[in-house]
Amino acid sequence: MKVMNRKKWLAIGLTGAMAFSLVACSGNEKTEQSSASASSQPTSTESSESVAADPMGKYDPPIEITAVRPITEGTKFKEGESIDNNNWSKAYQESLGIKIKYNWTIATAQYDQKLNIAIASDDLPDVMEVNAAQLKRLVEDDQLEDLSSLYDQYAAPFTKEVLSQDGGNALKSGTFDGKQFALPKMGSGLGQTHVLWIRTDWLKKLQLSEPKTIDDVLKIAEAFTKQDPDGNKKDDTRGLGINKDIWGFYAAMEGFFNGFHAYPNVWVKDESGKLAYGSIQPQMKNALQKLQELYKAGQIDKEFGTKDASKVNEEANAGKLGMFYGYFWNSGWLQDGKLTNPEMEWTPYPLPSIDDQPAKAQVPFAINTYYVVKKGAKHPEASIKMLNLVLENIYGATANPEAYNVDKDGIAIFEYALLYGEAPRKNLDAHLNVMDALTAKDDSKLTAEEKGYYSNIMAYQGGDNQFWGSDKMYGEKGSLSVIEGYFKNQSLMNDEFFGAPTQTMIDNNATLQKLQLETFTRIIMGDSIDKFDEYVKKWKQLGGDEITKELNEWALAQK
Amino acid sequence: MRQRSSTGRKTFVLFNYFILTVIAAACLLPLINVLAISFSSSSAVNSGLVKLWPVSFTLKSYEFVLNKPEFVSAFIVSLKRVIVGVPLNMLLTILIAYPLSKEKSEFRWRNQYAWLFVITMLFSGGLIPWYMAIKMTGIIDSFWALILPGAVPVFNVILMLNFFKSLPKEIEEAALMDGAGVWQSLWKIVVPLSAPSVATLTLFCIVTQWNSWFEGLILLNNPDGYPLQSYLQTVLVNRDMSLMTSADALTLRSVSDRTSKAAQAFVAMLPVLLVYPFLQRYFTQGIVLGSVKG
Repeated sequence: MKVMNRKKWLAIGLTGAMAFSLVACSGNEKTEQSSASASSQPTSTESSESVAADPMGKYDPPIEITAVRPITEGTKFKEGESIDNNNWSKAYQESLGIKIKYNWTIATAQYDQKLNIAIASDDLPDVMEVNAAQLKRLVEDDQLEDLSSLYDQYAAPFTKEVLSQDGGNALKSGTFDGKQFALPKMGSGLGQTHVLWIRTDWLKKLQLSEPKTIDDVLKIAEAFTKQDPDGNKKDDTRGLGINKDIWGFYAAMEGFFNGFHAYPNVWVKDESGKLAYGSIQPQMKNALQKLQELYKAGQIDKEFGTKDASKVNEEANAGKLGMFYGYFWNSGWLQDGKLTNPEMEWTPYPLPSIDDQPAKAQVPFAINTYYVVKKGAKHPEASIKMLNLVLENIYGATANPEAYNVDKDGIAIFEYALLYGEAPRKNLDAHLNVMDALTAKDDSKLTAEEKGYYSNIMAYQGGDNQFWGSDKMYGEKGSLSVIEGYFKNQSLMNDEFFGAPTQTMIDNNATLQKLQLETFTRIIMGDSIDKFDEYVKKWKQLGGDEITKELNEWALAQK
Repeated sequence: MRQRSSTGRKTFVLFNYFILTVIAAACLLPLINVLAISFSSSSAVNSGLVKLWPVSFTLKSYEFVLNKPEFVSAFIVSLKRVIVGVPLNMLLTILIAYPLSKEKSEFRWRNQYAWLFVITMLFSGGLIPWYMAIKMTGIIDSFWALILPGAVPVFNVILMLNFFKSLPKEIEEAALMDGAGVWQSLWKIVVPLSAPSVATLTLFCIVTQWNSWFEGLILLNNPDGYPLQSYLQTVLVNRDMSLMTSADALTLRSVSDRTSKAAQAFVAMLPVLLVYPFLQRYFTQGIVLGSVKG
């Protein structure tokens, strides 16, 4: 009897606990909703009346804005300064009358996680940066302020110019149903195109010519592997570097595939003008076949599947690798190799093509970060004003880069700015300006940042190998001149999709990426090339068809 | 007692040592590699020349690390955390385990209380409710956010409880007969008799307190108050390259800080490495005692 009783009590207690937890959950939801709807009522109307729409106008009395932000690892502060007290916080206060209060700050790598918690617990600051998926979620939950009319009123002409320098896709990607909810953090898609880096000292030694076609590339890879280019009588060199993810910024294969007119991981237009996924087009097959042959011949590392970019870089610096595809700034990573072995010489080349058609370098969509304003924030236009100030002070006509971009000690002051953006053509323009200055032997027209490159190149030409990397980027035969060439000849292939990820993409992308990496790695390592067709079929079944449909609907809506 | 040494026995011993050596090497070699990297020049490291012995020996990275204010302050936070957190952990563990180790006849609600603790091991509220609960207590962004949420290590309580149970009841009964109170019997009899398990659990607590990093990242609002491991997490973690902007690339261009990372990882390992030998004595003793008494 007693036992029976106990059990009953336990049962009642447990049910009670469950019921309570249910109530607690639903209670939470309710408060979340009600607070959202409560805060949505007093919106922007009053603020736009109170101050005339002056893009650089100062708030008087000063206002306080709450924000959260990631801090890039390795960010340095000058003595006595901090994220709350630096050139940028002073500029915001003195020029705009805006004081920023950071609810929290965290290292970049953990920012997304912490922000997700803040979003889930309804603990948002006035201004924050989000990624595309978070942006979409916040828009769907109606948590963001509509910035459309504020952007028209408050964005300075220069801001508008920079933000639409990529043809307007950046702004469009932050627009939902005609309402602009976000300011894109501008970046350079061109800066993420591939060039072909080659050990030209080996090229000379083996009396090979510069590569024009993929066949030349294959010949060079073979020669670098078999003809002992380092002259140590050991079979320890390899022709072509490739990292374990196959894609990326260093020793990656996008550039190689582009040579076959294949465009992995981006969306391209097919003959009928519809969006199609580059990774499943038939041109991919030829490229994979060639990689398989290279692997078989030992010209690709047999263990590439375990080596990430920095491991491959070690081999390049140790003089074991002769060629790889990568971004324009890769010479910075090769600097150590050059210092250890001054004979080492890497030169960037434009992508060779498989046929007489020039290869087009694929340009990924460069925006992955957006600045948004919480719905109901008192001064939603403040974020636009801050962005005006940032772009003006760093790149504008009255810019003072030494105080606001990178100072003379090399401290990256731009990291302190809450909102940031980089003009898409910044690095290319820097290269062109530096080249002009070098011919004229006059650096007076350069910005402070460009002056830095100029003096680096002068130092390198004076024999200081410490600045070799800079010369290989900004110098005459640098990687940026290669990319400027792409730009001039329009040999570029833009990613045609620049919206927020669709639901099917969010659900299935991880699976599809894994499927692709596994299949491609296997094929390169010797699996039958027919596996590619199987991959295409599977990709379509596992959500690929659905994504294609969604993206074409999205493309129609963009017109 | 000497072992008989037949050929079979000999091969077995040989084989045993071989396997153990391989396992030990697998544990040690990465450590030695990190140590070697931390003592090498960065150009040697980036050229992949460093294996198990430093190449172009230098103390530069240690100099750099020890002069790095973030590292030093994080180290101090971690020490504070161990000094405050471990005694609190142990105090609560003992105070909870002792009554729960009694029979139901002595402590009527024993089972109910025990379940109350065990349930927290089996079910958790999830990250968001956990965060919100801590936020509502108002300790967020303070040192106590690192200490209080994890102040009762339930798993340790259960280990302690079982050890207390295994002590012969008669000793405590004798003490009570001689006029000792419950408190006296706990601190004068039960705890001293449990020295091996107390030492073992203290070690567990030290390691947990020293190694946990997640609370720091989530519950503190800015990196100034991070304990060492949260700080290291931000320094050492591999970055998601697909999300890299060209501004980040700028910092990456001068990437060769692997030596200083290795130095930081090694310095962070030191305290636990130093504590281990001192407590290991109790570790083995604890096992022996258990086996003798059954």
